[in-house]
Amino acid sequence: MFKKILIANRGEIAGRIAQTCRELGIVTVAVYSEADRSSPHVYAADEALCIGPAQAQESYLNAEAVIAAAQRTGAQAIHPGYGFLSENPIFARLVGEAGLTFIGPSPDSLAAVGNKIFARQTVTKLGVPVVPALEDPSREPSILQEQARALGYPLLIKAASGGGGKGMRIVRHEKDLIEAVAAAEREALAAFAEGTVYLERYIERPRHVEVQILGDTHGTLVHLGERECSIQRRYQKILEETPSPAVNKKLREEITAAALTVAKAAGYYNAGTVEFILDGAERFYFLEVNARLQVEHPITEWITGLDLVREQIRIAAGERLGVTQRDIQRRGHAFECRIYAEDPAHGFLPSPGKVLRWQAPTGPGVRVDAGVESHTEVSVYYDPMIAKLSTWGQDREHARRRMEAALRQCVILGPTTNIPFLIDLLAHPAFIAGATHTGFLPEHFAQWQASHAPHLHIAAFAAAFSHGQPAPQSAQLVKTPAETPWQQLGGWRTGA
Amino acid sequence: MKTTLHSRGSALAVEYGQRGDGYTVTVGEETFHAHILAAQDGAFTVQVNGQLLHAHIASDGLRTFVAIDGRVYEFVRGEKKIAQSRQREAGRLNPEIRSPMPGKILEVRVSEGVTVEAGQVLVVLEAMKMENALTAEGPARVRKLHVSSGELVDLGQLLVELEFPQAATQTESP
Repeated sequence: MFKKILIANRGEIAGRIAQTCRELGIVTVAVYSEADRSSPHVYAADEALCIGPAQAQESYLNAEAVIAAAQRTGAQAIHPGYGFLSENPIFARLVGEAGLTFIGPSPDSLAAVGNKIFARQTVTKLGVPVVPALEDPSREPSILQEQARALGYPLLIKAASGGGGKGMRIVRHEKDLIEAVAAAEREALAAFAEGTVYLERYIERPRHVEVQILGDTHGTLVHLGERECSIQRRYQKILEETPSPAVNKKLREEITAAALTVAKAAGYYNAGTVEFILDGAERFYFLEVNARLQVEHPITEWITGLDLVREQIRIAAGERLGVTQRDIQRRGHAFECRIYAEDPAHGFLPSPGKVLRWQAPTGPGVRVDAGVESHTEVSVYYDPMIAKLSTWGQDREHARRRMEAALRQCVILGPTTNIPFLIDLLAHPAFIAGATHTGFLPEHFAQWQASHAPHLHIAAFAAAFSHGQPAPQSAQLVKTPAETPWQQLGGWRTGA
Repeated sequence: MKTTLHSRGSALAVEYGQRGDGYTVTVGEETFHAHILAAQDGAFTVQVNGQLLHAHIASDGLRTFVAIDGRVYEFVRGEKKIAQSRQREAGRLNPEIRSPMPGKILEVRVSEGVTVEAGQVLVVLEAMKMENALTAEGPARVRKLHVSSGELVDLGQLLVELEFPQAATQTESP
């Protein structure tokens, strides 16, 4: 087992990886950009090293700087988290050549599944269904328009490398095609340093269903069931759940078997996710493989009881998985909500800035993976996702209610967040009914505004009262009725 | 204690005074009696009509944020100018297109002197890894461009000045 691991990431995932390392007795090294000098993930590790300026290109995406940091600190392995360098086969290869272990699949598997066009072709040969696509769109506008017409509208433009919705566009009318391709190429180039895009037939109202897989280097490969991630905005997932309300036992058998077929063909080991879209007639189509730990992995951990980061590290160290498919039991239901520093009432505009106060919800079946703390900064340089809230319940409704309650308890003051939006989303009848699809938000929440302000007057009193107090406030300022049991509540929940 | 707070462009008169073991509070038209059970370190627990409410309060000097039950209420104290600019944001067409966040101008889609329609994209800004299109709020003429594509801009930096036809700005009150 490794003695020291470098975590090549930031935010909540860096802290989450450090947590498991601590449990395993592994020393951790954090890397950070100049903008992240005082970010929580730096303090979550045992050692920390600055690897460059704020721009991700020059720090978190700088493979040489990351590897040099590992060598300087004597780390034996690098955990890439998600995003940044996590699915970059060149990086994985360089890590190996430097005599270090990359915690993830082999560079060859990464290359095989990372190029979506190649992955589609490989998967088609395995008999796994894929969505009709135009893999080599012409650079010539008139030819491209013809090709697109042959494929059929609506269609979807996707980046050949990368994911997370960057570089993706739906095109419904020919007149928008050329501009959409150009915008997608620009976005892809900025995000992945590779601007190649391809076109795909767009399936209306599909569900996004993905299968978590886990394999060791000794040939054992298992699946941990599916997750549904249909609630998305601009291809960025907002809420995920497991199991999917649309997947029955038979469909689960088929879709997980397809996922294992794909993974096996790619010689895949470590943690990965095979993504599918599911149409209204229980037909599924292969989308892509995410060759890394997923943002939404906590919900799989909730229902399987496994620690996926622990498994990743053990697998990378050459250990055996130690379980077979029959040993994997799934219990209950779990949701995850992604909390973004963005304003849902104003076009989801990012809302960076100082976090004046942060308080995580607690309670049975509630988990928080946070990348913020009070008095830290939500930086303009990186993704606006600041925390993930996940809940477990005995069934879907139980987990849903827990999530509602947890969201109401969650406090983030400073940046505007999507919490009120998430609360409304969880209470929507179509959501409660499990009638989710990837167009759910545009369909039901297109012009969302905070519905009502039930406590505006009391909030105004609280604000006025706090203004009236000298700062810093002290416990003696408030005259409460003497000797009431409520007085014991003084400082309620602070420091919890 | 008497003060005026502004929330989302509207003014709220707040007055409170100690009465008995609690406070009589008037906010706008509404008067209620409140017992404060705890008020320290940004946590505020109050009982109103038998209901206990827990608020979290923090201020950045200009704005005060109050979180209750998953909602955040934002207040600005009496400053008239801020209130007026908020009002303009809320009700009137804004002739100054400013950058909503630091980022990079990817594209300038208009030139000086051209007329634009409501919703027309003026500039495309890349920030926090996403493209954001900044649009005109109403039909207007582009009076002046302050940026060009490729330029890095700061939060609040003036990007484009628009000129709305007279009818649209007439309603502005002093």
